[in-house]
Amino acid sequence: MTKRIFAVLCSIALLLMAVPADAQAVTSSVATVSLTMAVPESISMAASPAAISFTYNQTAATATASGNITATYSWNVAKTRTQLNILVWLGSASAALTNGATNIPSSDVFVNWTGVNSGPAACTGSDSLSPVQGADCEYNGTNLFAESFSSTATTAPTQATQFAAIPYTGSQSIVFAIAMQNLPTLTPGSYTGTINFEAMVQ
Amino acid sequence: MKALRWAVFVLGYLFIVVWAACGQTISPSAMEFKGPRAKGTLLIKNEGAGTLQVKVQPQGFDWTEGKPHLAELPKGFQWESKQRTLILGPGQVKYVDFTARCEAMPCHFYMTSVFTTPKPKDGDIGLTTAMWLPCAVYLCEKQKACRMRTLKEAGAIK
Repeated sequence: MTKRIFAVLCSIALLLMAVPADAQAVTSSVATVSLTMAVPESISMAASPAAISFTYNQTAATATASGNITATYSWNVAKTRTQLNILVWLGSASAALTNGATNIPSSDVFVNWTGVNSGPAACTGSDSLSPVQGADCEYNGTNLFAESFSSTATTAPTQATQFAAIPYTGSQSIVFAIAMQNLPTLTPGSYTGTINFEAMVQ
Repeated sequence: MKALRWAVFVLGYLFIVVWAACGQTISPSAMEFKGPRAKGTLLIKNEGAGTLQVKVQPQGFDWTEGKPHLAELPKGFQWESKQRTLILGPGQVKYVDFTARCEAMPCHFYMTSVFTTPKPKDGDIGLTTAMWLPCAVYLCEKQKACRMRTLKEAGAIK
């Protein structure tokens, strides 16, 4: 009888001893996986429409564009960038548009940076720095429209302000109204040319 | 009939808005290398609705009184790329590898992607658009802070 009681007590004691052992937390070593994501800087541009046509008026020596060109610039750049610069120019000073035989010079092509410039100006801008001599479509007498980045800028840039402080991520649209004046008498044919838009970030 | 005309007008307007909203993209906008050799990759993306021709070419740039402008390419500048011209369909992305070498450092230039649109139909008087998107490339004796040093020396930043 005593042996039985002793055996039962021993069993209970063993069970009780096992409880703290089970309660002990067993933890693994900590494994870490670092997460990285590189977002590259980018600049985008769209010109809409992709091409415009003109209606020639021989009597008035003018040509009216089918519409304006809206250039939309977008950027997402690092806070170490300094300026966004915009350039516009025609492909040639002497033959901004040509049918291969007769040329329309850039001095006959007038561009207005709508909302930016005071009025249309002929694309005759030229200095030693121009992409094509005598064919810059200038902004207020300079071949660049420039804006400075600012980390503190919170409002959208305005077209009316040169060197406006703009955020490092943003977009801006500029409307270009184009017309031709003082045209020579043009023989029938297809007169084509290119207008170039460039956005630069240093 | 009137409703149909409105529908066509609205769809046309939406197409123009979508076209305008989807620009052509290049990435990155700047790179820096330990000279005299640069080996880089440009991401070029056509986010528009039409097929575009893209030409990749270098452009020189410099600063005058801290203001940037286009300029001659650095003296003795050489560059190579197997993909100087490419056709990009709507939404298509391509990577263009290039190598460049400058005779002297520090040296800086643009690797510019020129996106051109189709020409107007025959019989039209028309202007097509070309969009130039450059990536500024800087080469120095040391790669670290190459661009910042160049900008400081040019007076573009203080």
